[in-house]
Amino acid sequence: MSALNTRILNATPAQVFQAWADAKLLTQGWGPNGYTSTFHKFDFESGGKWSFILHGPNGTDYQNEIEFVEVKQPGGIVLQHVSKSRIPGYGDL
Amino acid sequence: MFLNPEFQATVTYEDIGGKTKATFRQLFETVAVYDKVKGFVPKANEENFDRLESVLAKTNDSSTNYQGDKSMSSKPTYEQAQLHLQVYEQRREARLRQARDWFFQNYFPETFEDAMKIASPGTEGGIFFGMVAGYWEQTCALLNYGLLHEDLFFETSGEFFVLWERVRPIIAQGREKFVYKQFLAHVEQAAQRYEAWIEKRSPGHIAAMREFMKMMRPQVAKAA
Repeated sequence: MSALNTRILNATPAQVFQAWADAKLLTQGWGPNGYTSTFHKFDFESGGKWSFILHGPNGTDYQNEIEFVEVKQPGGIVLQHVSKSRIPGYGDL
Repeated sequence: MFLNPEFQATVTYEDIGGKTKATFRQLFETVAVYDKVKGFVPKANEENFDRLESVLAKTNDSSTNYQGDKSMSSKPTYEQAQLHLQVYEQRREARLRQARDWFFQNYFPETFEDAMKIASPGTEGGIFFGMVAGYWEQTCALLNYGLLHEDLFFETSGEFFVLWERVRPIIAQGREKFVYKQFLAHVEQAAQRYEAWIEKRSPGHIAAMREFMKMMRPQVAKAA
């Protein structure tokens, strides 16, 4: 039921955290290859909301609603993805 | 993490000597959902790490200041130079000098208990520790708020970094005992910035300095 990805990044935790905290940097670094995003709301703090559209390479837009359950530095980020929508070919998730 | 199934994700960052081990764990609500996404989610998440890496590489190259100000690649302003000198003036105060000397000669705790012995609250050691920690926390706060010029500051002061290295073994316990997560948080942030800053200019300097500090430690312990 869970997926785990791990990566060693050539930066300090503070720098990595900053890449999340700065919406300008995050838009550049967010999403799989070929996807761009438009942020509408980005409150990077515990309880904050993050709302954005992910633009797929084939022109499909995916509305994303996320709540930051917990944001702490140093340490990490817990977020809850709350939007539900249809994924072409995958049905209603 | 992409496309829209419901999930909860936990991102963690672990310091592994200047680099960061990042994990992204995504928990799906049901096995059925997971089964539908498991074909593309791991790959998508890897691609997301790739993109994060290139953003980090770019920010390192352009020496982006973490506070987003423009102090880093430009000349210090007259105001920044003024504040820089003001902070230096404070550092020269006779009693603070005494406290700093004491700190660098005596403060080598390995555990929280050591720290409480070396600098027990109420003793001269405790007072000296407070003065040194307080002075550098305040100065690093000015830096982190973008009021001091980063290059100028890092070019001319390294003492806060030694302070951070000395308290590092006991900081987690100290913060926990006093329920004070912000204890020396500005010094910590400045030390992380300094490490990235100096590593770009003199790769290996921090490692050499840590070696040197290790050599100093037993001598001091013996002398004491």
